[in-house]
Amino acid sequence: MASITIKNLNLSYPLLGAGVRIRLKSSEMDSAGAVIKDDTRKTRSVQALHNISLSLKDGDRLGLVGRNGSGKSTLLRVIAGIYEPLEGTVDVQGSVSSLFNVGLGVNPESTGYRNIELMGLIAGYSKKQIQEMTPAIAEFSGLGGYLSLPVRTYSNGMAMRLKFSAATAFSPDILLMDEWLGAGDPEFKEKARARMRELVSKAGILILASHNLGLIRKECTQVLWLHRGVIRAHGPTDRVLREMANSDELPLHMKQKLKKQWRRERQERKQQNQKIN
Amino acid sequence: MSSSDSVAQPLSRPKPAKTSRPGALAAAWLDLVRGFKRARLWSNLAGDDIRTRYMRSFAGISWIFISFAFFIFVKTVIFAAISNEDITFFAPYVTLGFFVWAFIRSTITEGCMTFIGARGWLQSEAVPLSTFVYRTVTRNLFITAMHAIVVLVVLVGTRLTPTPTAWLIVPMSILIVLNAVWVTLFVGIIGTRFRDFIHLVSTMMRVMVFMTPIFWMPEQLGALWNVLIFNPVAHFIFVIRDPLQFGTIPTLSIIVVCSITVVGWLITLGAFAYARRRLIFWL
Repeated sequence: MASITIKNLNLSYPLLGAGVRIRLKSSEMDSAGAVIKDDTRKTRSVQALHNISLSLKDGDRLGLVGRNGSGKSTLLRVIAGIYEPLEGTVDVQGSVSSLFNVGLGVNPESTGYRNIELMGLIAGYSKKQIQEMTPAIAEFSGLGGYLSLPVRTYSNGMAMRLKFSAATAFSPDILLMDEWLGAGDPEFKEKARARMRELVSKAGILILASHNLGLIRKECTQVLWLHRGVIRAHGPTDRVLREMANSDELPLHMKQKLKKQWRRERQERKQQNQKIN
Repeated sequence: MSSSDSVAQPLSRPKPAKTSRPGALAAAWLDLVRGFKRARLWSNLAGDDIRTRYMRSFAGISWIFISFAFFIFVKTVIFAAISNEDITFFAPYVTLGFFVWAFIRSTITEGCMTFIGARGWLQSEAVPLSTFVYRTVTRNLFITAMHAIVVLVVLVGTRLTPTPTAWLIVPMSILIVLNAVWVTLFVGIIGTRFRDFIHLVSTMMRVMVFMTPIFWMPEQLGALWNVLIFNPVAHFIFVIRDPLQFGTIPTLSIIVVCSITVVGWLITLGAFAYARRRLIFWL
């Protein structure tokens, strides 16, 4: 049902305004960010993605990892159809819901209920479908009476609850998330995790971009590691994370944490095997 | 793998494989059609705009009437005194002229912000760009409809009796709305890419109101009118005001408006075909 096929995708965008004139030292461009190319003397562009090929099918849970500016969000936006690449092909089958920035796509002056309606309309659902889903969205969000107040009165976490509840209510075939649930409280995080598993189990595709490797290990079956717009590794979660742990990508304490976890899991497996034997 | 290499070398781009994507022009047209079909969405967004604009004010949307009526009233009183024209002539003249002008002005100035104002939506969902064009046009049409009530009051109050020629304003209004769509889309694209354009437009609008026969009559201008007749905005006003107030058919103005509709749409389609995919990166 749901599938994503990307072939030889290149995506660059122009730098407009002051960015064109500022000189960058090559050492600065190294630490984070994408590759900046000077197209001509007066134009400069950011090569956000370079030669990306990827194919996903039902039930796949992909984690996107990489430094800031490595292209994770850009790739998610390409899959969501927000960026149309000029080079390469992108074929996405199935309905897509995306959770990017909490503040985006919300009208702060309108009430929570009204925003549920607008989000549904933007996503292309009929008024009737939205009306049917609204009670479930309201309940899941746990916002109660606040839904009758303008969203501008909400805290970050509450706005996030609203967006998450609405974006996941219509059980999309493909769910895209960028650094999700940063602001959620533990109780809602638990609920959200259960909802996510449910969505993925309904034969959908999940793509999750995050710096939280623990979360990636928990939720994803495969990982795509992006580095300055290029795929550095793609494969089963632990294989790619091991590769990361052996590179200069992660700070020491994160490497140690990962290695400690693997060691513990190995020991547990060993103990279980001994019990069976 | 050393990452410093990838900075020094320019990235070699594989030449794009020719695929059977719809052409840019066809895709632009498709966007206009698909966007139009999202009527629920753009009408709701336009409604929210109006509601938000007058939210928490006691008079609410009646401000649309109040500000329009007050402006018309003051202008009529002052200019009628200067130009020693009969007020029953001058009041509908100014009202009709300013009514059309107000729509043109908000179409152009707010058109510039069509995509910039929809930034949040555009960056979080894949929606046809034209959806937001229809939203801006709908919002402006709603406000114009409110102004029309004031116009009606003035016409009735000055006992203006339209002749059957006045029916001409029906097709002319449709033409004006068709023009509003391309103007909104066009200035929306230009305003997003070139931010100076927005300031240029607001500067020009302040001048244009005096270069357009709203508070004066072409006959009063003498030779200067031979220059100002090239102001296209004047003709958009003539095609409404002349049939309604004088019962005449402004043939030249109708030709001008029709030509602008065709040429404007062609240019806009070309610009949209180029800008459609790129616009998101200009926001």
